[in-house]
Amino acid sequence: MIEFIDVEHEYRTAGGSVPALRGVSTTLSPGELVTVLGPNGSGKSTLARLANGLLHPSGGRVVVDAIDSTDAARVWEVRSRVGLVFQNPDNQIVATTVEEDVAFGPENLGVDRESMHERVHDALATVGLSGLEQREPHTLSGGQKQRLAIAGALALAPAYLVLDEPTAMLDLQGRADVIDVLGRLRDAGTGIMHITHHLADAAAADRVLVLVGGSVVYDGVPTTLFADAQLMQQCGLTMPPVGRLAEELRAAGVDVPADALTAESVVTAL
Amino acid sequence: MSLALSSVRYTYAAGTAFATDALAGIDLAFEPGELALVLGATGSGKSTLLRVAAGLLTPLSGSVRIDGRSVDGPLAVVEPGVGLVFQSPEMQLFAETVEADVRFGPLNQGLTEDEAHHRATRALEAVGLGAGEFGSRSPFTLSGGEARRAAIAGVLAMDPGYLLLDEPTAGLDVEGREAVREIVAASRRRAGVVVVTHDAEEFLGSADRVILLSAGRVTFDGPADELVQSPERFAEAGLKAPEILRAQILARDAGLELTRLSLDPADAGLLIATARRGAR
Repeated sequence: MIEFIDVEHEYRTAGGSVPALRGVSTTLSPGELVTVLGPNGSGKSTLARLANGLLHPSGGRVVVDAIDSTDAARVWEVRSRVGLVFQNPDNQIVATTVEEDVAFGPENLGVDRESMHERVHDALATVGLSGLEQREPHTLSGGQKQRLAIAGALALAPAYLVLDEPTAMLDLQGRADVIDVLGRLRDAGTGIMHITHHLADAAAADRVLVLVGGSVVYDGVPTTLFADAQLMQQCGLTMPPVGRLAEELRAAGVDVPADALTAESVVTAL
Repeated sequence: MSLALSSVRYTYAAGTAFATDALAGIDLAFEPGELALVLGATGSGKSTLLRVAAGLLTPLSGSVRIDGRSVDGPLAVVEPGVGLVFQSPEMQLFAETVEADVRFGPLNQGLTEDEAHHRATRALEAVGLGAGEFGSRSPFTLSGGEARRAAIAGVLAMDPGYLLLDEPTAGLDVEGREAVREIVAASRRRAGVVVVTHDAEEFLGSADRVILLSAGRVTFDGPADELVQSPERFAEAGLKAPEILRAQILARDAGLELTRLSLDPADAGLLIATARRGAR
């Protein structure tokens, strides 16, 4: 489990220090998909960087499977347990073929040839890129590139995967593909923390964490949040159009669940 | 009066083994006062289209003309100019203050300090960042949404006749997206506006015209409502239709007789409710 215990974080600037997180306590368990929402500047990316020790908290503690993230002797243990994927896939791809790119991480950890092949094969299969092993990464679509970046993180066999707006650069199909991969990883036992601006992405989550101004304003199941208009407003969130369609249909007496934020889930209720 | 692309082709790494056709014969004309939305899958040529239209890339063949005059080469000075707002433009803020950053463009156009200051003040007002409150701040103290708006102001201050924006709402929160939509809608009064985006839903309601790009070709060019009523066009261009349209398509597939499709939730709700009553 990743535990954030009363975490504070400040960025130091020339003019003083800017608080990014103020007393955040939450957890991420194996096999759990947590979506993190919140306005720009609410501390979401800081939380992601604290999760694997890339940043250390200014106050409180981050503990990964009982290892304190600031334990200098065990920093690589923490980093290998928590994979991090960022927004722009082009900045995360290093090799000249898809296969080599995925192999880059395990190679650096000294994984032997046999299990390397297996890891690369499995990681590509999980993200749906099997068969593209010899392709040059720059010829892939944006969605494929982002899934390649995820495969690169998966090849290190992390127990947890933290993704900071991995779909921001993608079209709707690319987004749907990535969300689908996250669901399958969760089902296979990986703990997933997905940071996003797209409320619809949260419908598939086990829990939603909403940060505003560096503090947690909601940590619970998506349905309770979605059904509470006042809380939604307090969190700076608005329903996407398909969610508002669901509200219209509910008002017309159709029994559409509050977490119906896909065309399929709305139409199933009809 | 138009920004016109005729038979424009562009190939990256032309003449090498890595040659990639990004634009494969584009004929488009953008008019002042018009908001055109360009949609397409990643890799369809959207960003290349904007770069060619802004004169940053020279087409391999074909021409780009502003009001009939050729934009010949990257350094051509043509009035009214074309302003391009890149993806994540806030990464390019560099000056010590917001006002100095926005003033940089007009100064480079040869305007006097006074004129540039006036332009900067007006541009900051236009993006909702009052020069009094924000002008003297460091760009690095702005929130993500404010920084995006300051970067857009830097382009508006050059008073372009055509304003091109690449993914202007990507990565922004609800409030930031709303602010950018308002800027785009208001800019139409002074310029021709072209928006490239993955978030079709953000702009479909306000666009005069939608262009679908697929593999460097235009596969649709028409009014937004024409596209809404024939959503199979999205799939043809390798795109997923907006979720609210897909809900109505699925409802149709399930046997509900919707008379038309709508992007507006209340309207769509009514259409579905009416169809359900008719089905009973």
